[in-house]
Amino acid sequence: MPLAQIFTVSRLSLAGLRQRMGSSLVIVIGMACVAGVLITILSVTAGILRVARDSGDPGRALVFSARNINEQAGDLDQATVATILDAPGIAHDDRGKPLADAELLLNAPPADGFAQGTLAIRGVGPEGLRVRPEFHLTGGRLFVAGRHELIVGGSAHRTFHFNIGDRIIMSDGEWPIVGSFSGGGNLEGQLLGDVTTLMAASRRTSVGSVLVRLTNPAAFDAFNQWLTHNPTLAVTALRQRDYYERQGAQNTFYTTMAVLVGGVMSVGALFASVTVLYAAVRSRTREIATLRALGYLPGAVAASVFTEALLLAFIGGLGGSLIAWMCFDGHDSVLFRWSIPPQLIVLGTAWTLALALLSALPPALRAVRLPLITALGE
Amino acid sequence: MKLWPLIWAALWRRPLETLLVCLATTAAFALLGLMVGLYVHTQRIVHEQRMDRLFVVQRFPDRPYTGLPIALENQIAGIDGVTGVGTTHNVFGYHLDPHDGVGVMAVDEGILQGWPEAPLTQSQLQTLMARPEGIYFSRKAAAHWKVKPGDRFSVTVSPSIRADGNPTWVFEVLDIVPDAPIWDGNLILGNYHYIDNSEPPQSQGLGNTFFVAVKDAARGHEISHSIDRHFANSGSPTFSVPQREDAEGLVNSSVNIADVTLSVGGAGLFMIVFLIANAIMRSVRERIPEFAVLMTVGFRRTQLGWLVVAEAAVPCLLGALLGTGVAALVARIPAQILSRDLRQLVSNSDTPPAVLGVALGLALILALASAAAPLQRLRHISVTDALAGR
Repeated sequence: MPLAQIFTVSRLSLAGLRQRMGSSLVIVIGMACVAGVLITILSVTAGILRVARDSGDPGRALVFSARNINEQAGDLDQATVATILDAPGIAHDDRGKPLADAELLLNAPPADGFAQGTLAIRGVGPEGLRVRPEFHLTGGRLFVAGRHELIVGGSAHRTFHFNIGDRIIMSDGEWPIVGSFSGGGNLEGQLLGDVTTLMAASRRTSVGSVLVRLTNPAAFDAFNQWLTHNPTLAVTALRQRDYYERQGAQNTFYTTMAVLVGGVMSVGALFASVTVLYAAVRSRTREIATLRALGYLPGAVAASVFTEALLLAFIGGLGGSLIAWMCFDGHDSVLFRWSIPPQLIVLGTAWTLALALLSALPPALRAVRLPLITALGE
Repeated sequence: MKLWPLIWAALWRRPLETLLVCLATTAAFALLGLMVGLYVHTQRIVHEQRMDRLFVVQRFPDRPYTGLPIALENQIAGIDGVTGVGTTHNVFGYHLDPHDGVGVMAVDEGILQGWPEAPLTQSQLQTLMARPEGIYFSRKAAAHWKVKPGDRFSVTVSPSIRADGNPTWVFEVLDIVPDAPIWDGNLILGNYHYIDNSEPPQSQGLGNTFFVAVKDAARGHEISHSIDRHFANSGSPTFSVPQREDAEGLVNSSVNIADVTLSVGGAGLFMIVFLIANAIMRSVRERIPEFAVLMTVGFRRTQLGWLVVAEAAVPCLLGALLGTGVAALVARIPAQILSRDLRQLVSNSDTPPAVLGVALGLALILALASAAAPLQRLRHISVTDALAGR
């Protein structure tokens, strides 16, 4: 089929868009709604996964008790931690100390303003911050080991409005917030304090996990093998990124919601587009018949219907995606930060293009099958 | 009524387009129905929670989880405004398959004082206390696990929390009880003492949550604070919260569900309003000579206006009816055949008659909004020009 014919007929079809502005807007707005809603809901999943990805570093590993692969479990006693620190593959500092940290994760005691289980306090040791080069103090000062002091992550600060000077009521008294930090990933949504002091406050004698910096990401296999083959240990080691990604992947509710909601909306938008494109073909009946009479191939006419649908859907899909990006990208929630990466914008736009192709099919077939004599007489 | 043939003729001028518009509207209202249903369900669950009942839990949970000493029950019962206290102790494990999670809420003799509308009669509670290994299943739970009275039901907790090291409890199903309105899921009620006596001595005599009934709902907050103050300097500080506030906090803990559901439903309608307005506008434009003839034979502009509104209202109302019906049908899909996430979305969607009322109301508003521009056009028709084809 000569490309020149497709180009000419498509140009004619697009030139008529100005006369069909109202109906064209139906497709643009419909597709914008589909793309906007779809990627807004998917951005929750993307936000959760981004937090998971940002929380994990392939050069770090987490070690848990084999019974509970969970930072909150608190099943690792001090002897086990000491053995873990002897494992090969752990990076050491200039003084030969292993870059590893035994940590504890607790739910903050519920208080007015947040429900039980929504805010976590992480107890970290002296190496905890050195293992995390992404950690930066953004205000105040660091907590002092042995003191009842906490520092607040940026996301927890924004969500719960905790400021330096505020106090968290713990079992053994009030713990002031003495600083704020940014740390990337889920650390941002937490409070940090000294692990030993937190263990005493929560009457625990064991920690939940050991975070280690590996000499290099490839050292994980040897590290893991040593731990799993050590008869004195019953532990599980995971790359930090794998652990958080696995946690993020378990949260599939919003993906399912996006599929359901996006699916139903897409059906609506599909019917709307077919209606509009049928009307467009009808209003171009005489033009199409004339072109066909002049020798233009039916395929070129069909291609013009597809071109129009794709163009309008592209404008709508991209517009809806950008509106969603402007409205939601970067908004905070304690569990995640809404995230609309370029991939989601591409997905939203591509989805609307696919819908456009599907919706243009019946009107394109009608355009191709128009009986010339009748059509010229209209 | 005399307009009806005209409305019918207008709709049937292009049957395929009318059908497509109806289908698009149905999809939009099905989405609205599902979203409003989800919103209504969430709100209902929150509002069915009572302000005159408090939950009292351990303020500083430790690990392994201990809970609050059951001896606190009597002290809480003595606090001004408290009318009754019951204790629960929850056991979470699985039934046969480690992926089939199950929880048993073990209750003590006082539960009907703290939770008077619990789905147990006094005599059923007495039977439960007399039959330690007995459990009651809510209807939803019984349907989920397909059990009937007299069946044996095992719950395995791994690693074991029993003193004898056995990870499995074997219960006997005493009866099927109604679903608890405040409990949005499978409820299994067991005997507190049976569970408690099975545990090691250091874990005995503890309760997870105290259900506390208070005389005056308006004093729920005040009594919560009284309880927490009372135990603030004790070895077991408490955290007390009115049940409804607790539910609200949980519902909105990650994303505000009202914002999500209503925005999505609104977006669906927004998409449709342009489609219908466009279809009606095109229809009016194409029938201007017809309108001119009608005006010539005596139809007033107001009557023709109603004709246009009715033409917009028919697909809207039909779509609202069908869409809400689809949403109601989807909400009735058996939960067993849905994935966990779909179950949360679909099975938790209530479509009471009020949702249909809301949908029909919105359909009328949608019809009026869609007809606004075509009506404007109709107002400015010049009969002579139209008849002359100008």
